[in-house]
Amino acid sequence: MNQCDKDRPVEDPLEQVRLLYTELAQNPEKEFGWGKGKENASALGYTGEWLSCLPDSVWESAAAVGNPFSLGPIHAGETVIDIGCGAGADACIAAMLVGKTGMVLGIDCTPAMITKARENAEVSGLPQVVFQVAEMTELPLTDSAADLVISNGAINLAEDKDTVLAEAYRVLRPGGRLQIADMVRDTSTGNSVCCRAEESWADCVSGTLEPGTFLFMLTRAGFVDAELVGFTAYRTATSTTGALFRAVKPG
Amino acid sequence: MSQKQADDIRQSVRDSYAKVAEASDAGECCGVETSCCGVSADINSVHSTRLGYSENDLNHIPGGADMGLGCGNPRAIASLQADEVVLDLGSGGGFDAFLAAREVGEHGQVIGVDMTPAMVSKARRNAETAGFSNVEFRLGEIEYLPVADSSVDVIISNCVINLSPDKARVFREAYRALRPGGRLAISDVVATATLPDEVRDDPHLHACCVAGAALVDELQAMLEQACFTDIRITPKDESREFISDWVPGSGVEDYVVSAHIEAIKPE
Repeated sequence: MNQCDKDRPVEDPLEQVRLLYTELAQNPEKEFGWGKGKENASALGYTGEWLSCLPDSVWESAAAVGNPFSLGPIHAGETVIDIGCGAGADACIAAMLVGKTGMVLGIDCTPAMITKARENAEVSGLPQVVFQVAEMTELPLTDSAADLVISNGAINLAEDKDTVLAEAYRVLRPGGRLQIADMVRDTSTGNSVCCRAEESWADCVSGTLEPGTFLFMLTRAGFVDAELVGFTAYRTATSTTGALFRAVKPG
Repeated sequence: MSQKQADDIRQSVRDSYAKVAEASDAGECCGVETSCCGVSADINSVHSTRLGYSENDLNHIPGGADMGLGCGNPRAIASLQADEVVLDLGSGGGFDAFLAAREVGEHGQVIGVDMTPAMVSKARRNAETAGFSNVEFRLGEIEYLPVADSSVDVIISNCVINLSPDKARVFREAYRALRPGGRLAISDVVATATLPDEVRDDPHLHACCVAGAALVDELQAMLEQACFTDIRITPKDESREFISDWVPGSGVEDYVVSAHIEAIKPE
């Protein structure tokens, strides 16, 4: 195949992810086949205050699959890292919660999302949040620096989830918390295997795990009190559902 | 400069170098306009010899890693020792990182940082093909280095910092990443005269390592403000010849010159 063919299929999942989320950053009005925007966030329990405080450009490119803030409080002065922060909605909310004495780091492997997130933070007047281009398998944060790791619909996109969870564990201080929303296999529908070949990685379908597998991986990474807190109404395919997980790095 | 303007510059640079990475992957067939950035293996080898790399250097790195994108040889001034930890700012296809990896040996470590995903992928493939176990490539921007404080012995960089819209921040980050006593050994273009506005504002000339070049005095001040000592910025007049080839006919060689930039983080 001529490698110059611009229409060649993109095989690398990371490249697929970057292409799709560049599109979500730059052309958010497009129909992607899954929920996004303010209405989606509102349906998942994001408060009206957050929805109105942050600019529309935050919400238009936000594809929340659950509400990580429903999983526990965030305190003033804490250090938070958002893995796969996209256009920055959750990181900006976390920044409002930790206040001026706290710090939030949002990382994303899609430069177009980081560009948008930085603009959003600037417009929102939140200097305590910093956004960096980085991959979730290599978090740009010192060991034991974070009080809390959040993530929303991102870890399923990683091919090497063990490394992502090991990194989350590494950057958390002893006693630090993990509060994430992510897509998982919905085992109740019984068709979790039939359509795999037709499924998309970047759309948060084929990289998903069964919830029990994800809990096992959290435990294997060293976390304790790993817990599936519940499911959300978010779907990316008939075989997937949003789910909420919580875990702690032993103190 | 606003955040948006800075990110627009980064994106323009990223787009240019993604094209170079892709063209190089495809064996030049894409016909990318790269008047400043070679993509032919033959031309690159000639170019790299001119920059001070030896034949031996060129024979010991993975094919495809040398894309002829440098403007000097930072290793020549880095005096790398066995077991050192080296950080390469803007590692591209990995050329300088691989050469550094050979020098620091199996107990040393080289980390390459690049903000262009296609370049990071390419460098990782090159490392895998060549079997380098002491080199890793991280996606990141040089204004936000993905390395821990005081964890690096030497920072090298080849014709990259000029591309940054916030060079003062790059040097502050470099200072943070270096251990006390650690050193900067950078090859980059510097401006010898204030660039005309039409040059400075041209995104193509920015991506070509011309428009973003800072004046020697500006660099000196930024390094001092970042608390570096023993600062030496040494322009290389002989670079005029290859710089004139970057954008033929434009006369850019009258404004920018390749230089060695050295400095120490005090103990």
